[in-house]
Amino acid sequence: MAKMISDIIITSFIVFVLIFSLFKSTDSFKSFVEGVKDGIRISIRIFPNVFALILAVELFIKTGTVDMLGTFLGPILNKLGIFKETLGLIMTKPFSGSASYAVLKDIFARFGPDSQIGIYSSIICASTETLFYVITTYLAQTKVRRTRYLIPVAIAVDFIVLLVAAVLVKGSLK
Amino acid sequence: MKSLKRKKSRTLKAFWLFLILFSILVQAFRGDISKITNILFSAPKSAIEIFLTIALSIILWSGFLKVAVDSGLVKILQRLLKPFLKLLFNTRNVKALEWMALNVVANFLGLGNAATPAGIKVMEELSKENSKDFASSDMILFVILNTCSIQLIPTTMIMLRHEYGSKNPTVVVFPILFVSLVGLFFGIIFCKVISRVLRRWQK
Repeated sequence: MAKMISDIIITSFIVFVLIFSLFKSTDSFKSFVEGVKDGIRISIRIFPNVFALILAVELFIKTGTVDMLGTFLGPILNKLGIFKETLGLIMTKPFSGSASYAVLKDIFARFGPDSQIGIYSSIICASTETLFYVITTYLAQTKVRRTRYLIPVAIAVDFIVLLVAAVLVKGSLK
Repeated sequence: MKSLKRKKSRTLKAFWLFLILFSILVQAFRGDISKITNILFSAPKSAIEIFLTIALSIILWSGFLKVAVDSGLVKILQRLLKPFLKLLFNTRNVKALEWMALNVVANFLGLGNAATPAGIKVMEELSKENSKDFASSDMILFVILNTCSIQLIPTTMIMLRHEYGSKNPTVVVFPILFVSLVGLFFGIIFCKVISRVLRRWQK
């Protein structure tokens, strides 16, 4: 069902864009090729940053350092009302989409997607972003070297999301 | 003074260094150093794989997005979103606002792959009017907007829940939207307050 919705959205988006261009009689082939050129340029420019980030993330996750930090932070989060079983997810999500989905699948398999923990994980996983990845790719395209208050605010927002979701889940599922 | 400025500039870099050094240290402490070299040698391969997936989807969507830009479709989108964008951003750069409109719409429809190239174009445009080496308040707010992942239907999540035998895969749809909107609200408030305080402080 959900797959169908997403397929319909993507297909109709493309059809709509192409038909609109046909009506306005602009050269859609030329525009597309121009866009592709731009896309290649963008990709090449973000590559070094993405490469550097992935290297660090691989080390962080595969050495098990994530889990180690998690055991330290677990009791603190528990006090704030955040399920400590979801710590692995909370720690990996800001860095890697694929790694966080692997952790989420593990949570679903262990607790079930309809348990409190399963529902909480679904909510926080979908309403937060892989923020370090976003920051890296977006800033790669600029001359910016100082990000000022960007990262603190991004982390604070993520934290608020974690807390609000916890209140929501604990309040509505007993 | 200069050294203080420099220290501030390094959040991302410091973070990167911390991730690498701390991970190596933790692993070395456990005694099995060979695991570090194993990861180091396999990391480039997975980096290339991840990059290729990202790059190809950026290239594909850049093509379609450019068609939407050239045909004037984004002008309509931009006009629709103008009140909202004008309220949030200081920039009057039409190109930046157009790409912004595309980015917001793509995110909302769940076309994350299409949102990324549009977002990068926004940063490029914003960077043109920002000659300084630090991020402008518009740039910061725009990135925050993108990290909030506002999405009408979280399709990936619904699929995954269905796959793992959920009796009600869509029950999370409204909570997800609500929670991300709360996040967005606070993100905007934080950005606006901090940039205003900083401006006053500099004067």
